[in-house]
Amino acid sequence: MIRRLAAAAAVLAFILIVAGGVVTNTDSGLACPDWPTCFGSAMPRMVGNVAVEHTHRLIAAAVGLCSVALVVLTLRRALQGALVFAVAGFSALVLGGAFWAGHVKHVSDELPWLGVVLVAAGFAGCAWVAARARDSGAKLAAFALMVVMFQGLLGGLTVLYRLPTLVLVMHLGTSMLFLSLTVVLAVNEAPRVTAPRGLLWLTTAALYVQILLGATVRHTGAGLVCVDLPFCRGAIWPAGVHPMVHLHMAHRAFAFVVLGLVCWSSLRLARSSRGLIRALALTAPALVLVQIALGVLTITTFKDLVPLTAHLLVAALLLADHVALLAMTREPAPVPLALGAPA
Amino acid sequence: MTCSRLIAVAAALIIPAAAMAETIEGEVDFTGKAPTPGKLHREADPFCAKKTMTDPSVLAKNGKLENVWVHVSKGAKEAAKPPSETVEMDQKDCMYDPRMTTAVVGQKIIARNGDPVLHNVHTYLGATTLFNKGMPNDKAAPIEYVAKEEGMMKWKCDVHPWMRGYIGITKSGLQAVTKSDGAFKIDNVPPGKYTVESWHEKYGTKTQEVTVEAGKPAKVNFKYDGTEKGGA
Repeated sequence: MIRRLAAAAAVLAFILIVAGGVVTNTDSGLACPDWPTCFGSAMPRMVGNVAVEHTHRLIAAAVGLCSVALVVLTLRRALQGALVFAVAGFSALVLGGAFWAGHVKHVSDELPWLGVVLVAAGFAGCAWVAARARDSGAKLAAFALMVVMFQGLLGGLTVLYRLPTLVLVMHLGTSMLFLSLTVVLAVNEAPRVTAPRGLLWLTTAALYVQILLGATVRHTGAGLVCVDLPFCRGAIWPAGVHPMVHLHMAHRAFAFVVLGLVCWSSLRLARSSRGLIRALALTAPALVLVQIALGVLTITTFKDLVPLTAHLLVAALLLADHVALLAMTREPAPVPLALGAPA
Repeated sequence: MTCSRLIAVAAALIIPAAAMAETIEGEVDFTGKAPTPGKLHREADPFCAKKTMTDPSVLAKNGKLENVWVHVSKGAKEAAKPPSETVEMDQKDCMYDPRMTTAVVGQKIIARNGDPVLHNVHTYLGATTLFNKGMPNDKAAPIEYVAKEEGMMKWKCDVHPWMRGYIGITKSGLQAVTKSDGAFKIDNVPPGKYTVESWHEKYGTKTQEVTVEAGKPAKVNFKYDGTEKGGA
């Protein structure tokens, strides 16, 4: 049940990420001027940009409910039912404080400190629950709930502060973190296979960095500062240009670092494994190639909605693939050192 | 029927109708503190960086708001046929020019590039892309588009993200854009009851009901205080 629910949460997280991409790529981020309501309503007239933005919020609400259910189920499995009430209370504190603060900010243009304090107290309480949980699944589920609530708050801040770049990048960063946690929860109880994981960790970290780099390119408007391919303004690394140009080229260059790392770690893993792990390992290089092609198409189509959104989806798939590989493998036991030659 | 009778009948039908057409006029006031326009960060493109510009999204002077699209949103009949003249949207000094204008459904809109650099013209109606085409430089052939639906047609250049343009489109053609003195005037409005809507790219929509009577212009004033949220 828990694995199925975690898998459902992971699928919903994918849908949420894609919906978020559509919000950005159709300029719908400010279609609802308030948060968490939209024009003061929980269900506004669903037309045009409002429909895009509010659908994203509704999917986020579904993801949040899934996360709550995961915490409840994992805590009950660990026979810590009392903590369910605690996490419910602290989550209500986070959401209640945030919703009230969001409303005050919308009406008076000032964020009330009491709201911030309530939210911080709620998060501290959730962290306490996560620390008290005996079961690793319950710890993960509680942490995932905290991440998804934080992601929601960042979503609110993007609206209330009219799309600040740092918040937008963090919003995507936390969405990828939440996706990773749900993937771990979904495959956590599967039997683990022994495999070298150092390179896999490095590759996963590089993927996450590349996703953050891509989000920064997207949200600073640097996506089309270089429109020639493969060079930029006639050079691999043009000199005397604005930092946004270098940001764009860093994203392109790092894609090849990621390609190298993914190919290396995947082939190494594929050689020493079978079944699902081998399939996941071999899928990764193909996904990176598709991702590079989508990056090129994003430029040549002037950020057409389909390649641009697919670029985000494949990034999420690649990260999920690597997180699943990490969750399904374990480090080989250390070989005991020989203590001198026999007499 | 003789020719002179035909003319007399036509005159009897047309002249009263023309005489009955009235205007809706008024002003859009801005009662809040006008925000100081921030500098546009155009440094990433060497051509655009040559000219320093400030953000033109809120142009408020002497308590009047410029670039507000005012149109009859309810009660108007469709225009008999769209105007034959084209609506021009140019790209000059890495800005859309004009920032805001109007068109009628069926009217031809032409986009030009007056700059020696690439612009992509990405237009939206709501969340839907209408067209997204590149114009490599000032020698690029103009893009022609015929307005198909009512609403606010938003123009964006993804190469230069600060570039924004707006064309308000209606079926009736009963619309205007406020000038720097905040004034607008909608001509050829038959007597009747209407809903008039104002739209500003940052402060969003306001509506008012108005009754137009024969023989005198109807007055409608809108007021923004700068706390409104909405728009593009």
